[in-house]
This record gives sequence, structure tokens and C-alpha cells, in this order.
Amino acid sequence: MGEIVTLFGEIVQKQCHKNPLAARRLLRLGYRAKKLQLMAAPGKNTTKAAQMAAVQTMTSMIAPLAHPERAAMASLFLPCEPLQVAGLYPYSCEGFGCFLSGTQAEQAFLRYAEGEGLPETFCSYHKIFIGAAEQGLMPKPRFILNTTLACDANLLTFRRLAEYFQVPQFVVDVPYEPSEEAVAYVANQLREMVRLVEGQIGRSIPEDGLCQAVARSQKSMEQFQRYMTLRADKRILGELTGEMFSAFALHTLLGTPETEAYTSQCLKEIDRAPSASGVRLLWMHTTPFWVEPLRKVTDFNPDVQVVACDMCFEGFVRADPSRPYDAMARRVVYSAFNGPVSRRIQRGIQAARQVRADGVVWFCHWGCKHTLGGAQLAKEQFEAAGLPCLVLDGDGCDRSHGGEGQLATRMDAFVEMLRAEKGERV
Amino acid sequence: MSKTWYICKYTPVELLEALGGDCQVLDYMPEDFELSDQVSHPNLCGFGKAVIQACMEGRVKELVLVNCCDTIRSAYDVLLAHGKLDFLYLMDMLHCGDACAREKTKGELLRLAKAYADYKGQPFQPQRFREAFRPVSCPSEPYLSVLGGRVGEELFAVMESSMPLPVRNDTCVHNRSVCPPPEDLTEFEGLMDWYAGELLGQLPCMRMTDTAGRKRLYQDPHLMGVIYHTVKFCDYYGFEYAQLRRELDVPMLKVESDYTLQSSGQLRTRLEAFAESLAPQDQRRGTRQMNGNGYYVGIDSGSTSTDVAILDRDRHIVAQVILPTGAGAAAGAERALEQALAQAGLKPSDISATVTTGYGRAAIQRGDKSITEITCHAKGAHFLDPEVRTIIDIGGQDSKVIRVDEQGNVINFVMNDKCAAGTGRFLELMARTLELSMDEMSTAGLSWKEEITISSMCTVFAESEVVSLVAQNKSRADIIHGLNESVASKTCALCRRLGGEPVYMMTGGVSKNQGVAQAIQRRLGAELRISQQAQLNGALGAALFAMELDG
Repeated sequence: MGEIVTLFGEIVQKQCHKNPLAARRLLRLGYRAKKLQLMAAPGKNTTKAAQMAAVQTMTSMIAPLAHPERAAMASLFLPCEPLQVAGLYPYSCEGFGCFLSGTQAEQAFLRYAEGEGLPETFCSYHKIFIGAAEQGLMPKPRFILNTTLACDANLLTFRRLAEYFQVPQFVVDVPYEPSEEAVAYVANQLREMVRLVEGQIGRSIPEDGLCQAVARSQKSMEQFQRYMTLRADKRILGELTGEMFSAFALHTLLGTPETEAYTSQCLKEIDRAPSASGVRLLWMHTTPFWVEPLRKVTDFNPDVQVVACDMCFEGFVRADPSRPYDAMARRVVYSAFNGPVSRRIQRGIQAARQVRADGVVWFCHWGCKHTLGGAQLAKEQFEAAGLPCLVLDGDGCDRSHGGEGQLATRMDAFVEMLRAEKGERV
Repeated sequence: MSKTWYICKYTPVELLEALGGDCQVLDYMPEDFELSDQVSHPNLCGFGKAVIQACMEGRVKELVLVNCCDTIRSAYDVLLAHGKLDFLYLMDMLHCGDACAREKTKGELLRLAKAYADYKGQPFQPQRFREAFRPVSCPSEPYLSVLGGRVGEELFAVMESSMPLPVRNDTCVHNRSVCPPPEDLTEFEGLMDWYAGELLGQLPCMRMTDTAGRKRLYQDPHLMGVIYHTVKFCDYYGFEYAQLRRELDVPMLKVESDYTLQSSGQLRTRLEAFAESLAPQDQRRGTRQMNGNGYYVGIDSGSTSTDVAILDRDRHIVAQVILPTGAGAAAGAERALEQALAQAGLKPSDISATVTTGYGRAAIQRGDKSITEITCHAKGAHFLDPEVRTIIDIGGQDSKVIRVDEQGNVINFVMNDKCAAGTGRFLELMARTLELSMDEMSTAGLSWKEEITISSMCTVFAESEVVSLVAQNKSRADIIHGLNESVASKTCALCRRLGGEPVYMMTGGVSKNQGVAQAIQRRLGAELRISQQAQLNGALGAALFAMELDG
């Protein structure tokens, strides 16, 4: 299977150079085939909920490729309910970066971005995305919407692509200090953003539809919160890729009936799951799912499980769905990624206790200054809270940064240490 | 009185001074980041690490930051936990300048004013506020501008001393432009409302949503050239550089530093080459009559080999020597020159002029002038083949691409940065791993059958990748082909960055490697010319410059 993916990735990259539209069709075909496989034969260990998240994400990747006229480019943390209600297909930079890496089609796009003079030290998800967009693989979106939350790369990538595609861009500027004043400020910007979208599509986005979508978002977040609490005593086996599918379901696709169904399914499965066992890890940041030796440690392994990832729960807040703009703004302003890094760490400590994690992996994805900058503080503060913490340097999607063996060795050693602490045999 | 340091042009410096502060830009370039690396991460941007290092060394006791970027926010987090500062403040600055942002910024100014007044124990002094505004100077004569990520004092001094024209530091905090308040505005809140608008209305930095106003920086009629500086691991300005590459119609040099003192020295060659390309051709010509019998020597002291070329008055090559540099550049140069003189049957007194070039040029006492290898390569390539417009030079420890005009003058150039990947050293290490000589390495990949991608661009990781491919029983030819493609990919990315155009010529030691040369040619989709004298190119250029010295 691995060789087929490698070959497919190579063909997409080569084809993109000669005929980008043909490469896009090929990619769409490949993703459709993968979706069929996920639906028909997801793998004997894959749970129904994990399958739902994977299929849902795959569907959301195919849609903008198939219907560019309804595609809207959006950053991962942007509340997308208005787009869903308007029947548009939001596609995220991080999402496609991950998917192209999963397809092993990332290297040509990385080289293109670097050849353009963009910094080698820039986030790899964004470099792949810029490369794929400017090489013609990504469709021209109707418009581009992004927040300033968590990641400077958002400002740079989306501004460049708005100029490249000559499409309108709207930036939701998120104040650094979480406060009610900031919520009102962001809510007003979201209203303005919706006006821009309405102007572009030539029709209004019904407020009741938006309220319903936001209500689904709230319900999905509450269900997932409950799932995390129940998971403390249960064992669900999964894979690193699954955490990223879950993150997309709970961000770009939050507010859809599919995400609500996914979180309901999570709750059903947790009831039936066996009792907790093995080493349990909280993962902070994106997952380098392409690193095979690492997957051997974490995937479908009764002895080692990643039980939560902060990319999924960082924006969980209680809010009133009848005030949809306030609710969406609250999610962004009170995100654990906003403000000092200590907020993110404290949210991590709280989540680790909620899911009864034995240890924490703080993954420093290449180019993510927010995560890199907080690495030492995270180690200090998690450990002060009694949670051993491994700072793991790597890359979420760029194979050329290598170091698979080193990543796996550190992970193995960390797991051995946690096992010894639990009194288990190493 | 202790100083209050700041780093960003959006800092309300005048307000701090009105509250009793003595403010100064923090531009400290440390020797290393030892203390910073202990509390943060080595892959933060060099400037952010320099800020942390300055505080951890105890040089800074009062610091006002702005949430400029992820790195500065991280520096604030780290300093809050470990900095032991008397006053540390992070001011929130939004990314746009509309009315809502102005209102929010005014709130931030009031919040900072209260915190700082409490710390200093002094009230707001309106007269001091007005006096704190400094006039903004505008260029009135030809100048060069340093743009991009901030440049510290020491690096700026190197730039100033290398350039043939006055240099302005227009980077980051250094292009601050805030005008004084209207006379009739006296009430504090009203002043702060005006001040918020004035701060936000400055020439925007790259973190702002709308950066169109930055055009003013490079559309000045007196601007003669740009040195575009980026700080390693700072991403903002790389994007502007990518845009200026297409838009700018004055010469531009791209340099990158890690904000340490050492990096300033390492950039000297590039700066000098840029200065050489800016100086008119006739300024380089000598006016004095040289002694000797009309023989001209070029010495290229490289990291791997020292090359010497001797030309006669008719520009014929009368001697050419390539020797390993060995331990010392000066001794290597003496040895190579002795051999070259013997080869041509000349005495030292026959030599009219000598020009040195290459990494070791500064260490060689002999010589009438020293010129960078970039300018010499351009000259040499033009001599060997006047049709050449792009030179791809891969040497032992660096690779560079140089664009030349029809006279052999440098139009632009780019070099790889502090990384062995894509250089001769990379191939040497891989040859050692595969137990091959460099000659065998040159041709062994030509008979490849299976396409193997060496994905790691880091030399160390690529070596482990090669070891694992050997373990998988992959053929040596296929692995070497993969390595050749990897070097070609890196080189062609440099070439694209510079906008290389045919005719292409390859020089440097790696030009002898047929596998790499063929891979580059394939990727360029154009002919790649390799002269018999490819390795001697720098020395030839230096010898031609020596001839020009003889007026």
C-alpha cells in the first residue's frame, strides 16, 4: 500500500508541473478512491467514530477540488458555520498540507515555495499549501478568510494567496488578552465577515440557520468533552492520523450534522469500551503521522495510547447558541492558543487530569514558533503538576526534515520511563 | 537612571518618556545564545533569542515589548518566568489600523501608562511628551537602504563600511516615524486617542494586515540599491523579499543572519561582492603603472583547493595550478604560486600585479588587491565564454548562483546559508559512506535503473537515509543517482530564486561530477556549459582584475 501511495504522490507532483488541472483531477480521483476504501474497509481495528471522522474529512477535501466555484479558503481556527450554512466548502491550509503529505506529494511543493524565496524555516504545512496553490493544484477560491490566532504564518500565507488569486480576503483580528471586550470586538468582525461573504455569493446567510449550526457546534463540543471525561477509565485504540481527523472535524467542520454525529458516536463507543490500560499520553500540537517508527509506538497499541490532543479541544467553551456571533467569537478569543502560553499549558494540565494521562508529549513542529517558544515552560509546568513531559522536535508533514529514528527512540524511551513509573515491566 | 528598552516601532516611546522613562532600542547582538537556549528553544528567531539572552545576562532591567510576532510573545512568556526584570510589559497591538483598532490601542496606551506610572512613581508630563518626538529624516542624496528584518548595530556598521554609498537602516524598529501632536490638543485622553492613531498610522511593518504603505521604503528616487536582511527563523520578511525580487528595479542583495556577532563577519564577503557590483567598472581600473614584465596573477584561496592562474599581456593562460589548501591559506597560496611560476618559467619579479580572492583572501599578505570570489567568478566565466549569463558554482563548502550581464558584471547573486547540503562536502561525506572515491562517485550514478528520492536535505539525516538504503539492498548506482538529484534540486531552487537565465555555466569542483551536472541540466531544461578551466574560474577572474589594475 505504501508503495502505491508513494507512486501516486510522485505522479501528482510530476503531472502538476505539466498540467495542473489534470493533477487536480487525479488527486480528486485518488481521494475518492481513498474515501471508498475508508467507507468499505477502514481496517479491522478502526472504530466507527474514527471511520466517521476520516470519511467526513476526506469528503471535505474532495468538495473544493470538485466544486471550486463554491470553495472558500479558511484558516484552521476560523469559525466556519456561516460558510456551511451558505453551502460553501471551506478548505484549510493545515488540512491540505496534511493530506498532501499523507499522499506523499509534498516535496515538489516545498521546493517550489523555497525556490520562490520563502524562508526554509517557515511552517511546512503553509509551504506545501502555497506551493500547491501557486502550482495550480488547489482551486482558486471565491475568497479567503483567516484569523490571526496562534500562528503568524496565517497572516503571511493568506495575504500572499489573496494577492496571487486576486480574491477578497478578510482577516479576523483576535486581541491577545482574552476578555469580554475582546469577544465583542471579534463578534463584530465576524458580522462584517459574513456581510462580505453575503456580498460575494449574492444572498444572505439566514440567522436561524446560523443559530442551528452554532447549536450543533456547542452540542458537539459538549459531547466531546463528556467523551474525554469518560475516556479516563476506558481504553480506545486509535492512530495518530485519527487525532488530526478529529481536529478537522472539531474545527473546520464544527457545526455540521456530521461532526455532531461523530461526537455522538464517540460517546456510544466509550460506554462499550474496555477498562483503561497501558501508558496514556496527552499529545500537544499536530501529529507527525508520516513517521512510521513513531506510528508503531502509538497506533492501535494496547500498551501505548494517545488519549487526547490539544488541537481538538483548545477552543471548547460554553456559549449561548442563540447569540451565534458571540458564541463563535468566544471560541476564538478564549482559545487555549490565545494569550500567554501558560494558558495553553494550564489547559493541557486540566485535560491531562480529565483523561488521566500518564505523560505529555509537547510536539515542536518545525516552524511553529508558538509551540517552540513555550517548550521549556511546558516541560517545567507539566512536570511541576506531576505530569512527565517529553519535548519532541520534528515536522508534522515534511519528510525531508527526517529524523524518524531519533523521534521514535525518544518516544520509546519516554514510554519506558512512564512504564517504569507505573510499576510495569519495561 | 536605568534605561527602559524597547524593540518595536509601535512602542509608545514618547509616552514612556513623559512618564519619566529613558528609552532605548534594544539591538544587542550576543556572542552566543547559551542562556537563551537554556530557557527557550534554539529554533526561535535569532532576534527573539538575543532579547532573552540580553535579559538573562542582566543587561536589561526594564523592557516594554509589543506582541509583534509568535517569537516575541514567546520571549515575553519566558522572561515572565525566568527574566528577573524590574519592569516587563507586553503591549497588545492589533493588526489593522481602523477606528476599532484605534479605540483598542488607546485602551492599551492607558493601561500601559498606569502600569509604568505606578512603577516610575511619576505623573504624566505634557511638555516632556511633546519634546520626546524626534524629527524624521528623509533621503536627499543617493543612498542604499537596508530593508527587512531588524539589523543590529554591529552588522549595520559592517554594511556601512562595505558600501560605496551612504546606507540607511530602514529595518523594523528603525523606520519609526511618529509626528508631534497638534498644539491645541492638551487633555490626556484626547492626546492618547490621537497618539493611538499616529502610532497605527506609521509606515506599516509586515505584521500588519495592510502592508501597501511599505512601498514608500523602496520607491524613493534617491534609492540606488537594497540590502535585504532576514533573521534566521523570522518568517515575516522572507515574504516581502519574495515580492521585491520581482518588483524592485534597483540592485538588491539578500543576506540572512542569526543575530549573533559572528554572523556579521560571515556576511562580509557577500556585502563586499555587492559593493563591487555597485561600483562603476572604470572605478575598479588602476591608474598607476605596475612594475614587472606584464604577467598577472590570480590566486583563489578556497576551502578545499587553492588555485593560481597566470596570464600574459595578451590574456593567454601561461600557468594554472590547483593544490589542496591544507592547514593555512597563506602557506597554501605561497606553495601554489611557487609551482605556477615554475610551470611558466617565471621569476617573482616578472609579475606586474596580483589579485587574491576566495575565503582565504584576507589571510594572504601577497597581492595588490583582494576581490570577492563572486565578482571574480563572473569575470572568469565571461572570459571563458562571453555568452554566459548565469553561473552555477558548487564548491567545497558553499554553492552559489551568479547572474552576469554582457560585460561580465554581476547583476545579482545568491549563496546557500551555513549548510553543507548541496555542496561538495555533502557529496564527499556520501562518497565516504558508500566507500567510493570522488571520481567513482562522479560516474557511478549514470547507470541508474530505479528512481530513489533522498528526501532528507540535512547532511546528517541524508547519511542515515543512505545507510538504510544500503541495508535495503538498493543498488549503489540508484542511491548515487538519488544523491545527485538531491544536490541538483537544492541548486536549481537557488537558481530559480535568482531568476537564472540561459546560457548557464557550471564552475567549481563539483562541475567535474558528471552525475550532478547532468541532473542539473535536466532540471534546468537548458544546456549547462562546463569549461575545461571550470575549477580555475575564480583565479582566472582574479588574474583579469590584476591586469585591469595595471593602468
